[in-house]
Amino acid sequence: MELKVKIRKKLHQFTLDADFETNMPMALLGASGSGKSMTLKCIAGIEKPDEGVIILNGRTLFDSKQGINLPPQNRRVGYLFQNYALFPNMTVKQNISVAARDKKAAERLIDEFFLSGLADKYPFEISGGQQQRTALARIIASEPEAILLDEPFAAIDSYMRWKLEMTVSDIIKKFGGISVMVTHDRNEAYRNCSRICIINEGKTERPLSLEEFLNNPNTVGAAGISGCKNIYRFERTDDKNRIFVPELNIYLNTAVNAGDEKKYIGLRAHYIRFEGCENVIECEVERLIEDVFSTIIMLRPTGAGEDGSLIRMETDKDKVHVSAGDRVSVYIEPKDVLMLE
Amino acid sequence: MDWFPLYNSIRIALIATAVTFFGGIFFAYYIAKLPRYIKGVLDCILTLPLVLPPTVVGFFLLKTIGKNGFVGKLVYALFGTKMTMTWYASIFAVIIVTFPLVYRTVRSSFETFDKNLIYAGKTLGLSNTFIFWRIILPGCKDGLLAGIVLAFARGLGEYGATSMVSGYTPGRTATISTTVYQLWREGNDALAYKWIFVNLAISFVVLVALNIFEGRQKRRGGSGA
Repeated sequence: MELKVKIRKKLHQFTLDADFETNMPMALLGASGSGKSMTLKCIAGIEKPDEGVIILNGRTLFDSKQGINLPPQNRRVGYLFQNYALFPNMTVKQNISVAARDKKAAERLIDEFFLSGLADKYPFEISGGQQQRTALARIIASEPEAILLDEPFAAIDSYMRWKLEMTVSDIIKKFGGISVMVTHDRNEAYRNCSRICIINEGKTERPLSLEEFLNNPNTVGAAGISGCKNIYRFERTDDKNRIFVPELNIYLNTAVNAGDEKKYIGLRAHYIRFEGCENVIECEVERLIEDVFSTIIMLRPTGAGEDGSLIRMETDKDKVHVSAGDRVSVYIEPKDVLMLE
Repeated sequence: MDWFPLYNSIRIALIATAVTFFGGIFFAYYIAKLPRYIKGVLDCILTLPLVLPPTVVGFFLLKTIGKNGFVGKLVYALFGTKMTMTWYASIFAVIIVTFPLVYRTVRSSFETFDKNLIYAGKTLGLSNTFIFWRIILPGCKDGLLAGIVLAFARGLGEYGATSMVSGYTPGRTATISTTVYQLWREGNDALAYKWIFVNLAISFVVLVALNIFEGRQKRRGGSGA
């Protein structure tokens, strides 16, 4: 069970250059307009790449060199559209049975997706969540080998999202095939998928496991998209495990040697703490920003002066005993200093 | 009162509307897929009858189906009948005059149709034929109906091209509009008013039907989510 994608397509703003393989639920994570949806459309056969190959479970869906370009009908790739694309002139039941390869399965799916009471309703008569369940049931009924989900929760109010996310997550797990979910929300990607592939200006990076995504995002782009707020250029010292950060005017110990291709470090706001023993940074509290359950503290390293960069720290509200103008010492463990390309 | 002009007008408008309906869908669907440049040219040609005076349409039609025209000559050679000055010559005139109305309304509803529904149908494995007849056409029902009703109403009242290719022969080629003109020339105002009333009544019924149908479409949610 595997999906291989290696395609190029020239777009208005940039060239889409998607290159990844996955055999488990994967998230395609990137900012809006980064080519995520276009990648899905190429896999589904709705759009045609300029060149490359797409292989699903050993079947070639697209190969520009061999001149293969299967129509969407023969690809067996399900696609959950952002607006669900239910046929407005058909009831819930008709929407599902029209796509079903096995008409008996359609009846079963209606029960399984808790749509029995809605079977004879039209799409515009049911809620967004119910529409999404219908769209998913319809996809499952068509017996796809892979399911593509285009921003599945973008159209839903945040208080409803949590419930729907669990439903979709369960459906994907039960489906058991390959799935690719497009999202711009790193938390959503982290919660629902086992691999995360970051896409930036049309270019994909190697899919990361969740552990790598958090602790070794490897590039500045990936670190930024994964939510790392503090990224600085560094300089090497004679000691391989010690680096200098000019913007902060501090030396830091690192757990890994700085390879030649690494030029930046990333410090996650949550990993900067008031207690510790290594990598102490003397700072002045510039300002406090209250979030719902945490406090964001903007720190100015005292050694760097007015021209230096700020450090963003985020911590639980009850751990904050400082106010603006205070002098504090904060720490970051060497293993939490991310080395980035 | 001789009701032949009413019967003749309705049969001409019905047949012509049926032809423009399928022709309009066909052209609207396939032209939408053509490269932009060709699309622009064809679009102009097909819309031309909307802005041309009907007499110009009639003139070209006479040059085609008249006894020296390409089609007229061929039909005369094959069947030994003249095409002009018959009731069915008006059908050609009405088709050409009403075609742009259907073509343009159908095309704009194809263009605004949610492409995701087409893509969804394809990824679910539905055939292109099924998608066209069962998803696109029902989804564009609003536009199709508006086009049909407009074409029918316009066809019913066509005068210029009709009178040129079919003339006015009572009981054979007379339509409501040519009859009204004839009655005015004869100074028969009383009968002319009767026909004008008939014409108004038909137009009114057609337009009310259109409004009722569009209102129902909107309440049902139109294109849905």
